[in-house]
Amino acid sequence: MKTIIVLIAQWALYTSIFAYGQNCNLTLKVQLIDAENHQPIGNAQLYLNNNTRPKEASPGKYVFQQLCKGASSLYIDHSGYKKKEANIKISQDTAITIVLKKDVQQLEAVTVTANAQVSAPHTSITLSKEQRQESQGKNLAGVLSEIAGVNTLKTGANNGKPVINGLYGNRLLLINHGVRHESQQWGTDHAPEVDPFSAEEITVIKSSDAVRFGPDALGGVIKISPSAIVADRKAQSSHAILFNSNGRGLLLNNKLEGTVGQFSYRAGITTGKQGNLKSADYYLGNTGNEELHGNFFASYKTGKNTFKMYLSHFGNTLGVFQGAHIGSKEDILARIEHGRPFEEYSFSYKIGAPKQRVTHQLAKLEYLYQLDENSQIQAQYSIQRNHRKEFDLRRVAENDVPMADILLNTQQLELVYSRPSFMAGISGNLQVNNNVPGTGSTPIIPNFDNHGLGAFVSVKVPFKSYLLETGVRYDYKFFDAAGYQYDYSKITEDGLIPQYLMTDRKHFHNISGVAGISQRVNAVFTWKSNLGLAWRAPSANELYSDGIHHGTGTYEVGNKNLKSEKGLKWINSLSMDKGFIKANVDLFAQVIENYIYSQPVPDSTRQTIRGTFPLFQYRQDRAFFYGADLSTLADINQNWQYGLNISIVKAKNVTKDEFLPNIPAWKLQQHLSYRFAPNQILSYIKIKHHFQAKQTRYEPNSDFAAPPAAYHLFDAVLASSIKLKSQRTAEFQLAVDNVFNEAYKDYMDRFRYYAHALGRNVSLKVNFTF
Amino acid sequence: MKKYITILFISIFALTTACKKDEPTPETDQEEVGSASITFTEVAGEAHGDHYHYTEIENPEVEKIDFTGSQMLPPVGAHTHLEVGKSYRFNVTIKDFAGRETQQSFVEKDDNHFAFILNIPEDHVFVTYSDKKNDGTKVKVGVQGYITVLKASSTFTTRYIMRHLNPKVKETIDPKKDWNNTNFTSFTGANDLDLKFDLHFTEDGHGH
Repeated sequence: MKTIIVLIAQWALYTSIFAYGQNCNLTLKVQLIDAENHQPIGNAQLYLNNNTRPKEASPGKYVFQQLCKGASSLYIDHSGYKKKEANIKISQDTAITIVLKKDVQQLEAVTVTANAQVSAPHTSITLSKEQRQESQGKNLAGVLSEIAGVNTLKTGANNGKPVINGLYGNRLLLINHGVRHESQQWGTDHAPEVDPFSAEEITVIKSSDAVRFGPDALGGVIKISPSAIVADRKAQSSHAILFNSNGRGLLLNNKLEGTVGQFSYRAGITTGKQGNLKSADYYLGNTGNEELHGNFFASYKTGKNTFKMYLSHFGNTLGVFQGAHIGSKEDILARIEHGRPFEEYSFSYKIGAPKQRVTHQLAKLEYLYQLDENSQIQAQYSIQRNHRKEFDLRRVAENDVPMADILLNTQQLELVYSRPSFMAGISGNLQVNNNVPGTGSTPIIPNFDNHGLGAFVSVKVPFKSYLLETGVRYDYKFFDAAGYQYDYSKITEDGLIPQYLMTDRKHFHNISGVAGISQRVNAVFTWKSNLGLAWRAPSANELYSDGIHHGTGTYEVGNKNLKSEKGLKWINSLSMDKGFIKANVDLFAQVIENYIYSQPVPDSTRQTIRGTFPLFQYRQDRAFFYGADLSTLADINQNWQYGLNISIVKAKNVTKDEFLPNIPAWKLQQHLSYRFAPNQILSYIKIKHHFQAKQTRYEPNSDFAAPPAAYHLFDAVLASSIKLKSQRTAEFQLAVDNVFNEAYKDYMDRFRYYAHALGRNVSLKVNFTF
Repeated sequence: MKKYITILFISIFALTTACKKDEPTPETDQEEVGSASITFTEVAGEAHGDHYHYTEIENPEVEKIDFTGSQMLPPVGAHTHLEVGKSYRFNVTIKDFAGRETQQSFVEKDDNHFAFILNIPEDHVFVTYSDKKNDGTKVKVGVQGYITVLKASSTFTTRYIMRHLNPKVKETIDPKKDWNNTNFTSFTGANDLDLKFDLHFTEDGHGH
């Protein structure tokens, strides 16, 4: 059946190419891109012959319909860019790309955060509005998985964290509204606490962009930014309703924004509830999810001063699949052999133990002072509070007493001076991690202080057709930990293991840097090369963990002697823009000295009263990552569009000449869409295909189970956009994920030992803007 | 501008002066059992078709195995004899981190606890569980039960596993058939206790 669908899709694709001919209702497609960073430019004012206005089909893409043959004048206006006029002769359907240069006179409106983003040599991708709408309702990792080079490390169906070019967790920086997101990143089951509805712009920077935001961006940076607030209305509301058949979930999001004089605001609230999810053939018990998020942003400008405030709350109660609750290695092996859960679960909204309850609050104050038309000073203070409670099936205490109760408070301050081609700043952070007493369980990581200071400077130099960028950063980190641990070297005569107070202080400091170059080779090709040096101090769990990690069924032992990781990543990108076809190839290589990983200690187990657990210890070696990402988007004609992403990453422990675990195999994502004319009720129909290869690069006996087989998934999307009365729109989307209800397991899913991944899901999304 | 920056720094100083971790509090691992013991007390067993009736006797023979230490091992060389033809009441005593007996908590939570006794040779014993909740309700958990030895055997290592079962899993267990189910991992959950000890079923008067 799948073969037939593929053949039909290919037939449709090829016939549409050859069947396409000229018609009387001509179309002009205009794409606007930034001259420096080649990102699409949305919200521009375009006029054809001073009166005809286009529709913005997607950010930066504008479509004029029903045009006649002949010469026309095109006028483009956008705040922040130089105005442009062009004469165009239209004799058939035409697609053109226009490059706009920034107008330095208008840079007042460009924030420092945006300045960092426009550093051209960086390899970055911003999700389009269409991609974000299609992934509405998914967690952040699911949203990002549309991007070539980004995978997801999952712990069950609900829980995932993004993987960029093979690296994840503490090796990625998540910048949420200009603030480094700080949370309990160390566990594979600890997903980033971000409401994707609060993210109007999501950008992935694959370079080791350690200079601006911190030294530990070995894998890359994920930037979540707000879009510009509507400037010409006092109040505009938007509402999103989303229903998922799998899990019978309902998600609601409401936003209100507007501008009154110099004051702008935006407030949003998201709430949702979902019950047990279902694989292709069976329910996954206790996989419900409840969430309540809110955010408020305000900005006030007076003269040269701009004040900004951002508040957000993320609250989530997440059920953990009960079939993954394990006692020992014996249990894991039994379930792997069975291939699916032993029990039959039914649908329920009830969330019992094991479960996670996580809240994350962020408050940010930002002050901008415009020194002159080109330069400004920014001061930003933020405080984050991350509270994670993990509940398990308890033996003595009640199940509503958490097994882990961890409170992480982080304060950050930074001062930045910036001009369009220069930026310098200092930053500091104070982080305190406390285990809340009363869990009746020795914490796996100790209490700690983690304080840091950093200073950076970066310069951009245009030279002929090149743009050079270089930056350097110095960071110092102080780590002070204290916690009770068991002393296995002092077992008493009656066999008891005494506890002792472990205390330790560490100092880390290092230099990170970036050097990049970009060249617009010609009107079609752009080449970028970026070399990034980043480093990361070992995290608390890598240094001090001592106990059973219930999520993985392993006894983990930290290593106090770990040194900092140092990574050097080189990315070369070649992008092509030939009007109707756009393509980008990234080739990357990264060597990481002292790469930290957890490895089983051969023939060593920790025997406890509850059974035998495999013993894992943190070690470090030299690692080498390399690979390629390809993304292509082709407008075959005015209706048909084809997209293709290929992601390849390979990694090896060079010291031991072994493959590294948890590295995704290569994947292919492609889609074929048919776009209807703007006046039609339907906007587009899209068919997506996802192929995930089997990971063959793994060390036998290094995991409980060998990587699962390759799989194909097909999705379908039907979207509609209706213009209502003035400035009111209604957008509908009917989507089917995993159309053929394929039963599959993914190597990057830690719960593949116990169950299959999700089966078919039909979702209905409705977005209203008033 | 100076005014704003001064206010900013004062605010930050005030907020950051208390930025220090708490002194850690030692947690006594309530999830870990402090010690355990199994006691076999001789009783009179009378066969009634497919089951036995048990009654207490005077001056019974008592065999007790203590499990201590981090790995809950019995004393080195510990070796328990049970005689063929005799019946015994077995009681599992579990003490928590504070030395308090907690085995009754397993019985009270009978809907997610069940004991599996493994490695006993086939058809050598008859076993039944006889747990009673505080309100007098009879349940099958395996903290208390009876064992009647039917055949002699050489010494073997028995595993007593108290399984902490996931919700609704207990409903799928048949206590009569599953008490010695070696496929106990198919009953999803975790182990609260995994005790190993040597047993030897002997003929009347035979020992070492």
